[in-house]
Amino acid sequence: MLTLHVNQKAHQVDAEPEMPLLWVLRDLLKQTGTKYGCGLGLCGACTILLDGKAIRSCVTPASAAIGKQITTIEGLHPEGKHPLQTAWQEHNVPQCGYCQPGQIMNAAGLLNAHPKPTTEQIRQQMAGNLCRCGTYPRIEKAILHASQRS
Amino acid sequence: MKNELQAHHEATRSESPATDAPPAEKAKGLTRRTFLKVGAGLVATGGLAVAIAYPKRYAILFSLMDYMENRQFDPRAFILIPTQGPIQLVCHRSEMGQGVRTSLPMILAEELDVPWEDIQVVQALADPRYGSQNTDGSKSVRDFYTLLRKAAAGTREVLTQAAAYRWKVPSSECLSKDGKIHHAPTQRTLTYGAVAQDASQLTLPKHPSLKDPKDFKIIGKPRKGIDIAAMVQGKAQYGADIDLPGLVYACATRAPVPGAKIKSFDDTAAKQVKGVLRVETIDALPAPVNSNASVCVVASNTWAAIQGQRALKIQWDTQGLKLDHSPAYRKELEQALEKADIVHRSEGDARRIEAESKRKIKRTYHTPYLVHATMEPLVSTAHVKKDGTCEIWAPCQDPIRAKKAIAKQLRLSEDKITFHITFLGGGFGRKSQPDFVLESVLLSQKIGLPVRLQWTREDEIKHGFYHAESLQSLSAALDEQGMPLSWHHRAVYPTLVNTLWAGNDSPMVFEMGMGALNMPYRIPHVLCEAGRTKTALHIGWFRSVCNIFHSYAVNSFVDELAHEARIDPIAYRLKLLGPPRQIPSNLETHASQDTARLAAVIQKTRDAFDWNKPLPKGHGKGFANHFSFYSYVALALEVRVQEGSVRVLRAVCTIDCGFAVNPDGVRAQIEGSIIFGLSAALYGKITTQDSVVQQSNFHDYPILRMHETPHIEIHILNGAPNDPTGVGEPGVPVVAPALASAIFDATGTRHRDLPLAEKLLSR
Repeated sequence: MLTLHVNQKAHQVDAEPEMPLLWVLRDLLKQTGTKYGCGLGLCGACTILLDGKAIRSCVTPASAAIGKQITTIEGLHPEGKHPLQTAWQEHNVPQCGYCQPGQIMNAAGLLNAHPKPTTEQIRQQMAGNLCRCGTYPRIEKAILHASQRS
Repeated sequence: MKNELQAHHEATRSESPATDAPPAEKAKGLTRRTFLKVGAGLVATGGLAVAIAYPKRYAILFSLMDYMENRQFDPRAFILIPTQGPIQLVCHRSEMGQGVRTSLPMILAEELDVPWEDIQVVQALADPRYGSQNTDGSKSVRDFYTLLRKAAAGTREVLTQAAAYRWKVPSSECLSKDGKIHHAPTQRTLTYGAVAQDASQLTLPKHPSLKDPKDFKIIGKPRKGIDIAAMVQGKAQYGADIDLPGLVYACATRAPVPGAKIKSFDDTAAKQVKGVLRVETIDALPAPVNSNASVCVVASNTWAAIQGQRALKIQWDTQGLKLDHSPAYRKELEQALEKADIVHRSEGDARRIEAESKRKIKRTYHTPYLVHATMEPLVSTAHVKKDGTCEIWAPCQDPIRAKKAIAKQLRLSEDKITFHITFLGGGFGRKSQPDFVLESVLLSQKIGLPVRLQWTREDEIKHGFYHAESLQSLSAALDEQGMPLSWHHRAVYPTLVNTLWAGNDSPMVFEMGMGALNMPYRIPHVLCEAGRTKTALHIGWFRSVCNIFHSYAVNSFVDELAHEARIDPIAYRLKLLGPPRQIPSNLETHASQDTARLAAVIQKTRDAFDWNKPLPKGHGKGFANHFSFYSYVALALEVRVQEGSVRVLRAVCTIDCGFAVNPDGVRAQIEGSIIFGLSAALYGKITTQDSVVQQSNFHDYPILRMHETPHIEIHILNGAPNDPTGVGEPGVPVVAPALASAIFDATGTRHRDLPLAEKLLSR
């Protein structure tokens, strides 16, 4: 049994320490907002925050999160109104929407580190998150917008 | 209210399992997330019976697919008006990012006269009454625009009649507005819900009066996606997000080559993985399912299933199979191109003109296999139940085709199968293939449990239904001004119809009709021929299909002709189009084209790009135009080439899609198409060795990232106000040729093989 703190709540999970957080969250805790995309940390669909830092949950073992705070898209804001979530809607960002929880969590990690990022910082930080629908121009605008407002 | 709704849903559900949802969302605010079981229209609360013929505008792709589709279209299935509470509008097509759950309800809401904020959208189950649910071909709006308008307008008319009857006033004195019927002289109003029951007794008008487009309040105005609130909170349910009591998780190792059999396998190590429950084999299914034989690991969670899958040791039997090897297949295509003699279009005598000409030009273009790489890998959840029914939850583009295949495989009648369509995390054609659904059904049948079969990214890349590799040659005899007297286009690529009926060895007419035989230029002598080839890989629909390579060859060749003639490539194109004319439709092959509309998107793009403005050193510009899915598109790109790499700086694109129902949705699709097209043009390449796909994940099958994305500017022309045409796909084919021409403009080197990034590096 491992104790994990997810979105401000402690959970006892029956997982092998090496099970990636992605599958702990999705299959054991039924928090399906975090998505599987590649399993190798290449696409960013599984991005969550660990103590406020964006990480790839598909390549992060559960053991690495012991004693730390995990934040998923479900816990980013109690009413789903984080400035990024609001900006995402204002810019009508999502197409299929599958990669967007990961995009938003990666952007949240960026804003934690750089509250007022430059366009160049946004483009570099977000380069790790793939979107096959091609919503990048809108993501870029939404992050800039959210950072200017917060 | 909720109870009444549910009671209604249960009541209608017993008549037929018509619709279900990804959760029905309120248009605004997302306050409730309910799984509404919605009946087939208004029979219980207000019946509809609009007699509307199904549209007969099948060309290019669809004469083929429609042959396979049901034609039980029933307009009553689309609108549900409960006595109280939000009006529910059914979306019968799959949402994969193209925005149908917004655009189709917009059409209904407009003619029904209900405020957008007051509706709920519910997702249809797979059901023949919706007509075609095969979500491909950029046809959701263009095929259903008028049908849905008539269905909603007819409903509005009977609701008005019912209110007038109740008030004992002439219906001409009654007006519908904001979900209510108003009688101005007596200042009375009734909600739609209050008269729906009475309206259901009335016969719907055959020819309801449609709104004048200038009175539209919803159609034609930019509208945000109805599901975005759910999406940004991680609440939208995709294929892998369905939970069921007793659900088990599975992964499969598939035969590396279609047709290969399991010789033997050792599952000792797999069974020792903690959480692994069982190991099962599944047989291959032939066309039209085309699934490979596989060994499945069933586990208590996905991670255990993946670990188990990796621990399997399997020997495959590939004896007697034709195996492809990319370099050898390229040679095969070269030989096939030389012998290409299946004539698809012939006017005049192009061969003789070319043979007799002193000035001629011939070029050959090659494009590789591509894979869809949807962000959501394939996944399907199935439960074959002991009571002889079957329930499926899958991100499926073509649920009717899958349902038919399931019925056949399980020997069940289709009414025993309930097929829920979840959100699709991208589709691009891959999820129209039923293989991944059938695998999950067969596995559930074998183990007697509800099972989610999850494909890994590697599975998705290695077991695709690929966009075909192609080789094409174009040749022309030129006059003194450098304009072509003849045009000879030869193409060879494996046909995608083998996924439906095996045994074909040359492109079909509808494939050649995607941009080859219907090229729009006015040239006196034209010959278009196809050659013969077969591949061991499965070939499938891929966003804009054969238009991609045809447009690449035709646009590149025109660019080369312009260069040869020392004429600006856009001026050359306009000259080659000649005076405006209609290229007539031939339903067997291609749609009719209005060259004036093509010229208009070309000119708009030229002017918006400021085409004649000189560029800095090292920069280049490239242009392409293409007609597909009934829409006209032109694209201009600016690039900078430096030290063996190219950066795309700017894209200016114009689309004439007849009429943009949701202009912001159109914009989003074109932005996405340019980025999708750049991924393919720069990086997309699937290769094989002994028919085994060599790529496996995003490190060796890269797609464009944010820092590589150009600034994109989009213009929309409404060239046919009553005739919205395709949007999801037509933006893709222009990208690769515009990029190749821009690189040529910057460097003086013409690349005729895709993808382009590796060509720049290898120089």
